[in-house]
Amino acid sequence: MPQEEPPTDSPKSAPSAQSSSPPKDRSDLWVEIGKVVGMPLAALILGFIFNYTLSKAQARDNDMRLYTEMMGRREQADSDLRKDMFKAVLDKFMSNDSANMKPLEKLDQQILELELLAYNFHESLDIGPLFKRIHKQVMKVTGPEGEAMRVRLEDLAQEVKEQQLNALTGMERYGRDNVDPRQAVKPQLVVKVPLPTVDNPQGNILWGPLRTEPQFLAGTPTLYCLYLDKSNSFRIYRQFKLDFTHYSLTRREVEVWLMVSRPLSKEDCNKEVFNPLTTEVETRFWVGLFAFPMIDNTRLSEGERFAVSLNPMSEAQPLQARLAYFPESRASLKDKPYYDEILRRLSVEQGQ
Amino acid sequence: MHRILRYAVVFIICSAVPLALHAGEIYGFIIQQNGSPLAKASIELHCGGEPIRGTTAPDGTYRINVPQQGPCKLVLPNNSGASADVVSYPNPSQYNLQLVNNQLQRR
Repeated sequence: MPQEEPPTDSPKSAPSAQSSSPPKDRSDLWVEIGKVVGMPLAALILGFIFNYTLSKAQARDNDMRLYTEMMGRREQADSDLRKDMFKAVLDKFMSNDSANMKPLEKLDQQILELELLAYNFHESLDIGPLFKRIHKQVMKVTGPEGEAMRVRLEDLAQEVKEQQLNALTGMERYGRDNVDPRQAVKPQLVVKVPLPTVDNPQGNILWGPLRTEPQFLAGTPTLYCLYLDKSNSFRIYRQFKLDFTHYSLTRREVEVWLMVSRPLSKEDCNKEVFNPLTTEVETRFWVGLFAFPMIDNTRLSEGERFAVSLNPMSEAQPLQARLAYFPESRASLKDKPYYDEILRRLSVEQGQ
Repeated sequence: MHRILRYAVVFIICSAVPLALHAGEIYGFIIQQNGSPLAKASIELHCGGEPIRGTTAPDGTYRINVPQQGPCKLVLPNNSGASADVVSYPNPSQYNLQLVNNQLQRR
């Protein structure tokens, strides 16, 4: 029987090797073509994209620079104009040039100057003292002229307060769970303060033979749980307790005893009772018709502010006090953050 | 003699009117030894005449109008008569107190 030959690398395999060599050559050829043509092409495309991106970024930077320059120039021109205007109005206000004018004319002119100051500089200047000074003079004027001036002055103050409150309020939220989230955003936080009237002399305690001034208000304190939405979605809950303690009939002002807690957890904030040991700020201050919230506010930690301002006073109805809880970025131009707060915030941001 | 008497009466009236005009106020909060607020506790202020009564709020805060100025004693009649010395001034005076072993201590 013929024996089977062991399988060897016989010449049978040689033709197959010969047949595979042409495709290898073709692939080499394509690789060579790729090297010769593809690489420069890729470099060309990449270069084009890079150039395009760079030129686009430069154009955008140029636009931004131009815009910034234009805004800067406009701001500078505006500042110069306001500076000149401010100096002219304030100089006139403080000078005695109008010595030859009749008292009523002089007062009228002073109100006009105050209107200019109030409408143009209420964000950067505390105009409250000027209001109080003119109001004091106006209250001495009897008759319809005096009444008209008083109304004009108080309306002006109210208008400025409204402008400021519109800018400041609306960011605060009620922290309580029982408030419908759709209604949780309330642009106005209003507290009604019952005032003593002639018709209701028993509303407050009168001591001694003379009616006291200021009068003691035995009202019920108001407690709020509020928070502000921070840019990093972090919420700081605080409790605010307001107690209106005195009312001055002659000065037309109320005294507020304000207690603000330090940042709390949501659960602690939602408690029905204020814990005095969590107090961060406790203060008593007088609020009148000429307290402007953008300037006259209480500084809290974490770059926050709180202000109380009054709606127009009337003996016939309870006094309405409006509250504003807002970030320092909304505060007036003259209100600058503390350096240590900025440094602490920067270090926290770097830590994140 | 009559003239001196008249001056004396005028002097007494003049010195009494400002006291009546400027009533003082004692305010603050009272907490217990463990730090929790002393809620709805009766307070008495003894300033010489009839005691002036008040109550702490649920959060332990209190505010009492005082007709006269000068030294007074703040007493908690339902807490073993614990007391603290306070002074009434024309402007409101703050006294934050803590009840420790039936004694009122200032915080």
